[in-house]
Amino acid sequence: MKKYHFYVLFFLSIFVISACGEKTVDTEAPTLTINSSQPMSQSAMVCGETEQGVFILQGGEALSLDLSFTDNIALSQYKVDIHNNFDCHGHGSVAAPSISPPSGSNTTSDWTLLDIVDIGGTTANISRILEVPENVTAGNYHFELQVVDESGNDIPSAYVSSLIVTNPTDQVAPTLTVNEPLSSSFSVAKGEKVRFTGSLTDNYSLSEGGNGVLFLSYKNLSNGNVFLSDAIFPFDNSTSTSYDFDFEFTVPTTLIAGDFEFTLGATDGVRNVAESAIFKVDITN
Amino acid sequence: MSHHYCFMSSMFKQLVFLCWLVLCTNITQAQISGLIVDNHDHAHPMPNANVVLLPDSVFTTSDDKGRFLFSELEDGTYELSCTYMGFVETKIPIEVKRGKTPFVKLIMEPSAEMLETMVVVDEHYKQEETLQAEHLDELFMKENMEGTFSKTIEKLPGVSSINVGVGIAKPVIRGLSANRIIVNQQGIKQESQQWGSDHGLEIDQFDVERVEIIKGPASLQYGSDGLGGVINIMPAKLLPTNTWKGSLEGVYKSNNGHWGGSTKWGLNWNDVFLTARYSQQAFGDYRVPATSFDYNNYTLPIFENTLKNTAGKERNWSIETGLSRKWGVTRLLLGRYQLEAGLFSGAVGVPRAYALDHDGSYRDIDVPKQEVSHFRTSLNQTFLFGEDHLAIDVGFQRNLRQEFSYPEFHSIPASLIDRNNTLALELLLQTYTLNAHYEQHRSHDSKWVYGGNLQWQKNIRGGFEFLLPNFSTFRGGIFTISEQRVRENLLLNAGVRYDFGQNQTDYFRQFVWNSNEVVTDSLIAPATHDPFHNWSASIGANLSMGQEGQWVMKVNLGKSFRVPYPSETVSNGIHHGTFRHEMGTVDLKSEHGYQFDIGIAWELPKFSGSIAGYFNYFDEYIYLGPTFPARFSPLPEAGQIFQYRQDDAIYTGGELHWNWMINRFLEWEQAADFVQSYNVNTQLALPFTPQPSIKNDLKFRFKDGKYGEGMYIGVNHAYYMGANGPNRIDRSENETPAFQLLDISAGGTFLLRSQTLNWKLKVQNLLNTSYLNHLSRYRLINVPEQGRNVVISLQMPLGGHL
Repeated sequence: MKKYHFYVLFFLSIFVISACGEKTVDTEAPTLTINSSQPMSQSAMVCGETEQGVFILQGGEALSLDLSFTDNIALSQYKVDIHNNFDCHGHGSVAAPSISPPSGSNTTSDWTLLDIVDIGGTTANISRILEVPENVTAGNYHFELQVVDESGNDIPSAYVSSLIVTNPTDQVAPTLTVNEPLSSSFSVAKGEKVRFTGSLTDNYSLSEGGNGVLFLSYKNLSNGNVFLSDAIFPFDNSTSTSYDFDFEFTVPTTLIAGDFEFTLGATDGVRNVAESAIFKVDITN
Repeated sequence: MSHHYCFMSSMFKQLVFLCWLVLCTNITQAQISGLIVDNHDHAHPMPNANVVLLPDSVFTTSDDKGRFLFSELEDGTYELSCTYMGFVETKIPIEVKRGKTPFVKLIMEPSAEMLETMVVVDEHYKQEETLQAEHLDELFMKENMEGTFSKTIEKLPGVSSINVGVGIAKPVIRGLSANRIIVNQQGIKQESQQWGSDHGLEIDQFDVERVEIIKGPASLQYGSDGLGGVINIMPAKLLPTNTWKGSLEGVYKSNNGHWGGSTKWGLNWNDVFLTARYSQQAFGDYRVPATSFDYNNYTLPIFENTLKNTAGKERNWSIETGLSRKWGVTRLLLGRYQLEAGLFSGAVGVPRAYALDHDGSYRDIDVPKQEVSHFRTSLNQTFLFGEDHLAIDVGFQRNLRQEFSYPEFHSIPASLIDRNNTLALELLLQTYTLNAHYEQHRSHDSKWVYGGNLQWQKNIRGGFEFLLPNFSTFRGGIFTISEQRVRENLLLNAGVRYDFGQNQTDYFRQFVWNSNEVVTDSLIAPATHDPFHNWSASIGANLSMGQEGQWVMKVNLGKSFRVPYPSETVSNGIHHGTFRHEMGTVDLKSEHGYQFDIGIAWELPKFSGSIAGYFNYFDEYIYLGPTFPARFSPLPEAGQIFQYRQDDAIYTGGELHWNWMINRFLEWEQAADFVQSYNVNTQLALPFTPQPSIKNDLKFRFKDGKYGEGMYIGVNHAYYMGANGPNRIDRSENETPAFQLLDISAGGTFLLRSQTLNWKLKVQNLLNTSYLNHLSRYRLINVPEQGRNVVISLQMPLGGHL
């Protein structure tokens, strides 16, 4: 029976250690409530998926929030974080499912906000008015709210929602018309050239704001990897409401033969995104 | 309290099961059981020795613990003969009367001929006589092989592992890991950014043939980082003179389409030896028994039950050459470990559905991912002076770690973004090591060891993200250990060590930009130049009890300390593996441990096992936690800052392990462990405290001949208690529910023409249970662990005389 003794003794000790001690240690996370907002959130398409709780705003408008934070002991800080989601990132550095070519010379402003505010006590009622920049870069943004109490209890990313922001000057996306390639699916050998011709038209300037660009990206369908090609055409000031393109893209010899998806994308001056032209391409050796 | 009840009921079930087994196994016929030990090698059990029972000429081999068993015997006089290469044949007459079962201990003497030509000093950890130690051989490694070496040794009580998916894992001993565990590969401490919880061990698990695991404060011989324990991966045993040996092995795992293979070839020609191994493994995205996971308020999809981008591949080689002479042994080792492994796309930052879409392939390794290349070379030289010896190890390691992710749109100005450059973080760590010790036998009962270690390393950073600056470290130490046999059954040892360490870090500043190209903040790592020095000491006893010394009690009391590592003093930035803003604290002090442990091991004819308990008190224990009062990180998308801080801490717990040969066919093994951590300041547990577990293995061994040799089938059950409440988890951690897992396994050896073939089949997570592992990196986002997995492995040993 010796073995049973060891067994029982060992687990008895586990029992005693794990059952003892009801401590008054603060492990309760603070709470965050959005009591009301102006405008109200709604459901909308973001990056090809329907999302709930999206705020739709225009440059110059404001998002008014009535917030409540509570904690059982003492609050420490809350953080507001607004940043663009032009590349449809999942958050952090997740592989971007779509490509967003950087524009280095825009005159519009991305809506960015990073505000850490000290709060105290067990309850804090805060009214925030978050103003969208007047000349804002149009597109999807992320809006995050976080709260932490004094001893470090938090709810990581307790609140993340999407913002769809438009620029007051121009809210209409440009239209992309492709003349060549004639078919939306074709085959091409590595090292060969593919000619793209067509036009991009818009109700307002394609260049004013500095975000106007036409670009080609491609996706390897066997592994899902997306690459931006070297065919990137930012629009200079001479471009007005229409842009005719005629360029040749040499299929890189470094690609692995197989099925690809070519995407011709374009944005106007304030970064309204045109509906892309998508081609199914069979790349051969 | 719910888990207590649940636990009680499972304990009750086990007791019922135990009683049932006892009733079912009434043995009437006689048996002869025994143990084979090596007289030369501190009476260590000898696995795989050949035992013949005469006059019946029945043949068996000893198991991994050196045990053997003959059954279904009539009364009468027998003779046992045991042979093992390099040892003198030992014969013992045995009398079986009235069905009584004699127990025989066969002590093997090394053959004189072998000693003359081959002089091998088997290096062991010098304190292992008084600390809890586990010895694993090739057989254990093969029978329990998991995805990584760390996961394989998790089977042992008191050992667990921190995992990132299936290809990346690091060991945890009694709740301590990272810089508190030393992993020695052929005498050289592995240096590979082991501080990071998402950084795995750089070990080719096919290449591990002999392992020694010390649970407890083991810093005396190897340095201050050993306060949690040491994993010694020892060189394979030298081949006998003028023989060659080869091995081909392959493994397939169904869950993630894992293919692996390894081959090893070696020869010993007039005691000059050369061995080479090459291993390669590739695996796809792994499957989990879930189609979605909940994160905060979102339910996110897992397409096709497959975790996107968790594929990986590993490619390793190693070469060993050297010679064995009367004056000593020289070994030169070269090896490289290479890993490329993807990270689950949802695990980096806040997961969103559109980032989790299937990417078209289950085998590609996309960004985010990590690539590791670890090159090592070492020269191990032993000089023999009669009974005494001098051992010198010189080593060089180059560890290149690269973490890839798409450039953060938010913290790098658009004009500086190069989308083709996805190298976010690069750490190149180069380490030079020199160890030496002299072992002196003043008399048969008195042994002294004098030694020292030197280590110098340099880290160079790269990539567009910042976490750690360039730094260099120096570590040096001298020690002496004395071992005295004061009575035939009582061994005492004691040792002291003095260490000196220095961290030198460079200044670094990384600007943080918003997408309007405005600098909003910057991350700064200050230049530091910190010297540390302190002493460690240990005293222990080993008492053998019982007529045959079947009971051994080990007691050890140690004082250890650890020098803070630059990652703990000057890191600053978002660590991709954890996606948290981690910040060092410049003026950290050394951490001190006062560690007591006690254990009793027994070796009875059919029942062997051990029970151990320990109590560790750490003064100024360094860990990552919220600041007080907690502050947010000024980085976009980051939560609160986690800073390295120091508080007093307690780690205590115990382990139980036993093996019961119920009858000649049935063997029952149970391992249970428990770690309790307590942060004296916060009154909470410390992060990454393993869940207590009970593991039961029931093995049925077939009689040799009918189904080949050594065939077994087994059922393995593991129960892990939940991690919940302030006693079990830290503030920044999530509660992890209890879970249980069922595995089945079978294996054996058969002859194909005249060629031996070892096979093994295992079904892991037979019931396809969806569970969370508290020590898994993916636990943070509630992603369950790997589902059902069928593992098939084959091994073909080759060999002969030259």
